[in-house]
Amino acid sequence: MINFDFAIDGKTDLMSVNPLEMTNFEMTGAIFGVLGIIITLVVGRLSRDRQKPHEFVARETDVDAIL
Amino acid sequence: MNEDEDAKMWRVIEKYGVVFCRYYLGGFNLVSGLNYFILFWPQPRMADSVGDTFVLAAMELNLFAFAKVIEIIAGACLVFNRFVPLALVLLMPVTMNIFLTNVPWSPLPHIQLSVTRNLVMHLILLGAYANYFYPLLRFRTAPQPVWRNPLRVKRSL
Repeated sequence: MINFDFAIDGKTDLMSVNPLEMTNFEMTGAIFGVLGIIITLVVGRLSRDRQKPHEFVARETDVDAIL
Repeated sequence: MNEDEDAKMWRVIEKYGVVFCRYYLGGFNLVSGLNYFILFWPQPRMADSVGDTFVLAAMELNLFAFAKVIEIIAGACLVFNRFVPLALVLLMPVTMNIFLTNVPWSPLPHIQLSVTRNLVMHLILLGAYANYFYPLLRFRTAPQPVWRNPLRVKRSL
């Protein structure tokens, strides 16, 4: 029977579709995701002063040219 | 809230949403792959007999180990933000196989939801990095063999 239960009991109810009821792998993914956002925020904050406006120079390239 | 602020807010949600998806999928696959070789958690088993037979056959053929190596490499690429489009392409067969073997066959709604979420995140990331895939949509193509100009690979790095 599908349910929406959630309990912090160290087990995963595999009938629950509650996103907070996570397996080990999902929990790892969620932790990585949250840490990733924090890292991105911190790195963005630290590098803000070093970022300068980009100067675009139009120049032809042969990278995708069919030779 | 005016239109400009609205667009700015959506851009921030988009940026951090993509970051979350990349780290989530990367972390999930990296740990799932490592767990196969190191076994810090019990290896998940398919709940139905057909799925379990499939997994056992894949393990016998060493296909499972191959998939887990791909998970480790692609997961690390996603976490460390290196070769992300290549990692997404490498990982797609794994994500698709897991989706196709679980969603119609697994009797556990949580597993069905989990593999669907992974596939959706994978598709979001493919969409987010679409600029690297547009050349694949060329209608008319001409070969440019890599052996004619091997340095091209080095230049692409």
